[in-house]
Amino acid sequence: MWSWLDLDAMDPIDTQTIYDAVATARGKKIVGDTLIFCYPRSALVSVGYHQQIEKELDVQFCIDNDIPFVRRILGGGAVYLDRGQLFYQLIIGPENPLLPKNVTDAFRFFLQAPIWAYESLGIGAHYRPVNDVQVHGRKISGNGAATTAEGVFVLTGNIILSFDYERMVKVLKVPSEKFRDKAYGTLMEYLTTASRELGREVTLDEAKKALKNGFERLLGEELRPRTLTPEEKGLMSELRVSYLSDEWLYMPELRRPDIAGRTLKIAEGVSVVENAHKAPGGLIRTTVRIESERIADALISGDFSLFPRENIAIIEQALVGCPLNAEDLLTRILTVYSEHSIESPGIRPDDFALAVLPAKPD
Amino acid sequence: MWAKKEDGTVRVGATDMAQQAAGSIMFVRVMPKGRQVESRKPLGTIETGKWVGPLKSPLSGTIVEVNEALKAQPKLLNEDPYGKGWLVVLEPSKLDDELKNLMTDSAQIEKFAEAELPKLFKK
Repeated sequence: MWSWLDLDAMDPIDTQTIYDAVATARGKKIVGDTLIFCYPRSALVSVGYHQQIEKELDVQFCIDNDIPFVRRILGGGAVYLDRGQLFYQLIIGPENPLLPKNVTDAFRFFLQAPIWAYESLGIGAHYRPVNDVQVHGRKISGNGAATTAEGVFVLTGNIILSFDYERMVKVLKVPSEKFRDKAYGTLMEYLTTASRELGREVTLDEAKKALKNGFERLLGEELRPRTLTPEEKGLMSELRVSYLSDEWLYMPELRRPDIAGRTLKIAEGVSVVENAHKAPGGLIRTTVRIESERIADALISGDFSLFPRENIAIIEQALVGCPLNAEDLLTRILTVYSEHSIESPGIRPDDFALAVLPAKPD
Repeated sequence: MWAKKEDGTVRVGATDMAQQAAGSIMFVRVMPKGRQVESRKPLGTIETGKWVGPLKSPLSGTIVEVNEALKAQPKLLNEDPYGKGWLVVLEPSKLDDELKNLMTDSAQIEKFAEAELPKLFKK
């Protein structure tokens, strides 16, 4: 028996504590399986459970612009959330036979509801493993999940009505402005919205109706509206305090050794990666866009010398389309070196390959 | 989860079956040294493909050592779950009592795995 919390606009932090609170209440069997619909009254940034805030976010920009940031209990990367997105948050106990035993199956199953919602709005969306919903190769819904200690499965995601691409890249900590530009372009290209797809404004009410129908079809029953229980409200206020504490936000046990470079995953199979490689002749910096494990676009800069200088563009061009392995990279670079008689004191052709290679996704 | 008795302490990790069910591991977080944990309660969390799940301690005790290598190389848990991918070393507080709750007989473990695997990986 599913109940439905139809909450509309909420305080930004509450949009994150609510599913934690309901999942806790579900674990204690105070409430049953629940579906929540909500959206934040104003923007916030949410980082994945295991992320290090100051490595992911331009904290000062967030503070200066009154954008609260919070660590969620779910996986994934930093995301910018605002009222252009309608959130669904599904809380299901381990006893429910609808819950698949492994995570990929769970995403595949539950994401049918937003897919049907998009379909009824006139957008042909499909599932892209592990956790994306796509339309014509572009992501149109982001999703994350967690299993609590009591075995309660939580899945949240969004119907994206509109998206502030510019804000999203501004809240992120980036190694360089070049990286930011590249991230912006890649987001524009690989993240779409209902309004963009339909060429008209899609309202929250429309989206809500479509999503409710999608979930009712999936769960095979009518959603029964309910309100928050006093226990859930109590849990939310307790969680609010701990979510805003330094111990939770900056979680010291997450400190990791610095890993060179910066990777921003945009959608499944698409990321923007910056790396640096120190060669005897200078530092080579690369910013590349990876699509399906090939280089889609490359930018090279640094303090090394190359003759003639315009050959950087030729090397960049040679990298486009190249699979991310040492052999293919080196073959291409050696070819342009000989074709264009490139000279680079203190930099060998394989240094360029090394400057790009850490971009390989694992 | 697995537990291995060592000199007065117990080394704890995730089983091969658990790492396979989870998939490619992106992050491992375990509680810091000195923290007390209870059996069947989380001693840490893992993240794979946007999902976060608990690592439940098989025994109660105090964490005396954590595998720092997992911070930089979480994939050790996928690659070598019984070796380099260990999670923590515990000073157990109720070892004799709690050991009874764990499976120690290999035939029993095999039977359990045979029953669980199809549920995890059904197509």
